[in-house]
Amino acid sequence: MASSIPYLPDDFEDNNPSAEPIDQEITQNPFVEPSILSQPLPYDEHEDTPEIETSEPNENVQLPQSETDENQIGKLSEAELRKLVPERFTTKYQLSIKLLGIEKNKVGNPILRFDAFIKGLPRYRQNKYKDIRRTYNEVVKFNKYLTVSNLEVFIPVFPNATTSYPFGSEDEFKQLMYVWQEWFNRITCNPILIRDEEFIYFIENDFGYSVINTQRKTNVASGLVRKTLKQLAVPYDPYQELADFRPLIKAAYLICQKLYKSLDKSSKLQKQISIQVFDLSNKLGVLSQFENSHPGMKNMWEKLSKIVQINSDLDLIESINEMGSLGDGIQGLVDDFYEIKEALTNRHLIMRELIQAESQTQAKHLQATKIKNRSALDPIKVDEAIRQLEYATKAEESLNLQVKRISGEMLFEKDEIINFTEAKFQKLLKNYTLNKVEYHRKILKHLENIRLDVRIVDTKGGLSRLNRDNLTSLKHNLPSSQSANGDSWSSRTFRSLKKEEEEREHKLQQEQYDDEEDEEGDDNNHHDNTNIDDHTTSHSKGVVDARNAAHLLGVATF
Amino acid sequence: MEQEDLTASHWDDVISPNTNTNSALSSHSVLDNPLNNQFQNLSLNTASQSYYGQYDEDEEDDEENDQGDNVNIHEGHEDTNSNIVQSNYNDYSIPNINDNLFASTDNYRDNQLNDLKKEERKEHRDQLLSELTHGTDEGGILDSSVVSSKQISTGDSLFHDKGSPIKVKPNQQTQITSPKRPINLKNSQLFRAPRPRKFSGQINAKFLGGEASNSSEKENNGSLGPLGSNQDDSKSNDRSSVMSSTRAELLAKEADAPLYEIQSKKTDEQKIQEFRTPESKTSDAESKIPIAKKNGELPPAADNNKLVISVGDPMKVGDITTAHIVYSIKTKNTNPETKHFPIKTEDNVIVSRRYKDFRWIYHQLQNNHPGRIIPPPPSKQTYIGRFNESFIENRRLSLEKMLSKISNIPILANDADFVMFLTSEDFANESKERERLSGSGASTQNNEFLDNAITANDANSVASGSSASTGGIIASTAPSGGFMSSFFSIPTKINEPDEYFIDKKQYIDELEYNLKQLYLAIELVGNQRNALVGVYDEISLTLDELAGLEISKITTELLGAFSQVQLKIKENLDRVNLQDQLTLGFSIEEYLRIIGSIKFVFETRAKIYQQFYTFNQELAKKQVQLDKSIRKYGSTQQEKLNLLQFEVDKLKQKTSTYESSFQTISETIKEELDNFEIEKIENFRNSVEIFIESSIESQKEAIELYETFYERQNLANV
Repeated sequence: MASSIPYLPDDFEDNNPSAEPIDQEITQNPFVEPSILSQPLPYDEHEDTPEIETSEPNENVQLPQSETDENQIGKLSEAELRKLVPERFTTKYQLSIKLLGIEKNKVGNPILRFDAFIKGLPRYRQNKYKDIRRTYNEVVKFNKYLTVSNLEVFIPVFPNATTSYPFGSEDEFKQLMYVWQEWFNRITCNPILIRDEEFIYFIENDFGYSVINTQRKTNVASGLVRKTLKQLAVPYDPYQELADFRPLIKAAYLICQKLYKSLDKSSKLQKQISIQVFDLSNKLGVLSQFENSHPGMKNMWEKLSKIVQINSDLDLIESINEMGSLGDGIQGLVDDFYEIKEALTNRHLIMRELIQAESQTQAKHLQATKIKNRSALDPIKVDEAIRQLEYATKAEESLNLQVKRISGEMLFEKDEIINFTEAKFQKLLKNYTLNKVEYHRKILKHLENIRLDVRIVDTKGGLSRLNRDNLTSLKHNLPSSQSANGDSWSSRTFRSLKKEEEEREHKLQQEQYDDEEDEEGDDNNHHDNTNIDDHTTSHSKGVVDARNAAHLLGVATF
Repeated sequence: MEQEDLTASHWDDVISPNTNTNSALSSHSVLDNPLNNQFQNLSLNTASQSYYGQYDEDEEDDEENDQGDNVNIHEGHEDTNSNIVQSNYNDYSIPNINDNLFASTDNYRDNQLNDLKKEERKEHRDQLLSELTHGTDEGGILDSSVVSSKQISTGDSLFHDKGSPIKVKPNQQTQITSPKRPINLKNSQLFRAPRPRKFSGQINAKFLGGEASNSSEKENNGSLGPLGSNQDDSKSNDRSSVMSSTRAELLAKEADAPLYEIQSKKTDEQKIQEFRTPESKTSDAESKIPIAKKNGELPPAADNNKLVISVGDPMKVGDITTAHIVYSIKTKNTNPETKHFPIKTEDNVIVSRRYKDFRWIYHQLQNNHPGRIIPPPPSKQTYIGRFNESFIENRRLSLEKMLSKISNIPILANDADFVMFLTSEDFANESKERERLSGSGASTQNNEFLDNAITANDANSVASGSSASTGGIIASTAPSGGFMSSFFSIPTKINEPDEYFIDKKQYIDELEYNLKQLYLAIELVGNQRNALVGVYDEISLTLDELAGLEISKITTELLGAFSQVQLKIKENLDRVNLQDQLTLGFSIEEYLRIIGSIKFVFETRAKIYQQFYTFNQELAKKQVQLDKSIRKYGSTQQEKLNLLQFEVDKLKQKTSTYESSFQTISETIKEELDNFEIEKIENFRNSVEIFIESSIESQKEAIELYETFYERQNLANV
């Protein structure tokens, strides 16, 4: 960091302390400061309203930093980055985990069964680990450890073992398979995390797993101190992108929380409605039993009652599906955003430490200079002062490096997060939309089915006849409006779910053909997984053949 | 129904002494009247006959309940000079002959039925007619309504040429009734406050004296106003007498008729003209049952109102304290032939009415047409939310439906009050006037059936309770309380004579219960959906916010679009909700109100039956008493025996009156219930069909929304 005073041992080792003042070094600060200060203060930590970031052009965020960072203060050059985050610039190390299954265990603590493939990482005894079994709680512990020990990484939160789907249902299984695999993918594709020592234990432990590096406690403030520190003004952040990022994440966190609550409310309401509608269907049923003079009428009420009952069932399913397809995902995002926010806060805390260290160094430097300038030199005091200065400088430097590394890594991570969020939203909304479409289509189908029953109640043929007296057939305009050929009311060719499924299947087969066996039957999550798998697997082979490359390009979402 | 009037008329009856033979004759004549009528019509020349017939006709409208010997009685007391017995004899002698000539008892029933129906129609016609002729002349109406006994004498002189004393009375009667038909309205009042008759020997004795008849008349006129009409109940059956006159004849008479037809000076021609309507009615009557079966269709008769009615432009008027909504009613009469519609222009007649007025016309019609199921207005609303837009719209729709339904039923469409309601410029006064004349008290009448239709909480208990307890019992003691219950210390439970009504009552109760439950369920769903609509709104807003964060360009677009989708889905749901309420909810609610009307009709019938029952018992008692006295005193105490005899006769008349009116109303109700069933099926089918079709459309819209979103956002490639 520019504000730090580089410690030049020469100055003091010179044995002639008064010979060369280091004023120059000190005055460097003023030169730097104005340019920095001239920029608007990025944000206040506790008043980070969304407006602040939205008002700022966001393109910066998305531009690859290499284009902009060179000429901006506070940006890291690629060379610097290479030095700071070497993990990002090597593909030597690969780790991939493939979730095989989920075994039933105690409620809320299922067992995950997965394979791990390692390439290039030191200290692993094998390349392949088959059938690793870890309980949910163990993974959560591991997740916590990672969060604490990797301050520079936005660690995704391991999704909850309970979903909105009913316990033990097929849907729940699918969902868990998908979200957990996704988590593993995110963890394992992070070059810093896979090099974490703990990963070895996590994978290699034969019986269960518990955190080995327990001594590695969080080295940032926590609890009350953290809270107090958060009240202070945010330290100046030279990295504009990251400075903007935290309020963004915080707002997203809050809004997603709100969204989740709304969704939850809507789901609950829908559940209630389904109950009421069921009640309604019962009442209609009673009416049909009551109507014994007119068979057509009786039939109509009966059918209507049945349809309404089906509707109520569909409503109930839909209320669950809505939460499952969208709500759970939003909740996952909320958790993630929270962790990201905390990680960014940690960075701020470290930056504050750095500032303290800087002032410490400055103080020490001043002291040393003073001693140096004295006429009578006490060698012991001089030694002491120099040692202290040295120490302070070192601490500052290490902090400086740490901040730089964190910042550098976070710049990478930030893009990943944005991409991930984007993809996640798309995925969620896709699922949600498909769900909804299916739901409405089912209702529509059922409703259309009983049209004839209503018409044949009496010989008049109902309103659909539109007063056409000579319309003898009751069956006009009856065919279902949706068919495999498309919807009768729209020109769009029907996007049949079946077709899509087939395509997916096809893709799946291709992939299987391309690389190794891919047993994932879960179509929903298939897409993302395979992307990542493709990355890892193709890398693990060390060859990217033409077809694979094309495939990668074709399907990559980020 | 109007019990007071009944009692009043009873009083009259009681007052006028009758011999046993007379009563027998009269009852006989009542039964055979239809046949007689024809005969009478044919013999129009006979002045007395024609008069008699006319008179009967006029009166008939009014008294559906009072049938039988009243006419005789009437004559009896009005004819102060003539021997009572003789007068009676005169009156009925001709009918009797007719009876003998035609007496085919097989047809009697049908004829009577026809007559009854005719009566009702006639009533309307007469009312309309009178309105047409005298409508604006309020003073005249008043005068006519408060006919005094003195007027009788004038009438007498007017018609003196005809000679027979009998005629005089009819004249008087016509005078009273014809203007604006206040009498008719009165009749409807018969059911109110059923009071048991108490015969005080003193009064009877008074009447036995020669002067009695006059004084009684005065009493009647003074206290009861147009009640006199009620006395002539018997006419209801006779009214067809005039019908036999040929069309041509009638037309000729019509042409000759004076321009002003003030009833007090009714000429023969006028009367004939009045009877013309019954004639056309008779033709209707033949086809009556089929017509009734499909109420929606107009009968072939040319002079029915064919009204196209729309209710619109709800407007808030008045200051804070008197604020209310006024609806403007546009009426177009598509049948220029009709006699019942005063305004002949092709243009729409536009009047403005408030909700209260709709209720008024509802009650008025109820009173005018006992036994008919009148399409009800929407129920009252709590004070709060009166000016809520959707509520007003809902009410407007209901009101419009009510009016158009009424106008689809010829009898009701031709009702003078209804036409007045549609056309009157000065409704407030006119309605009051009519109400006063008819004594219906329609404005204050509060039909609990109407308002409680939907207050559903007590639905369970009430419906189940009533259906359980009142299944086989037509009515327990007098609902009007007071006098009745004090008279009979033990609440009498009268068994329903007709199995049909037991079943129907239970059926209706159950139907009401079920519909109420259904309505509740729909309402609940609606409320929940409304809440959901709110949540969707919230979601949409939140999504917008999230989009505003601009996490990335794609996310922003995606979430923005999704927010739009949610918003539209919300609107869609809102519409679905409204549709449900407007289709299923609306018709169920409407039927609940109609059921209220039906129950009212049942109650009316029950009251009549109760009266009948009461009098019947009374009669039995008196008969026993009479027998005893005859045995005891032999011929020694002629006066006392006469008194007793008179009482018995009176009671017999009453009983038969009530019996026939009970039968009439029972028949009407049966018919109406059949209609109700048919209409119910059609209405519910239609609303279910609309419900389904609109649901289908809304589902399509939802699918389309999501599909479009899916396509536009390229989600297939995700």
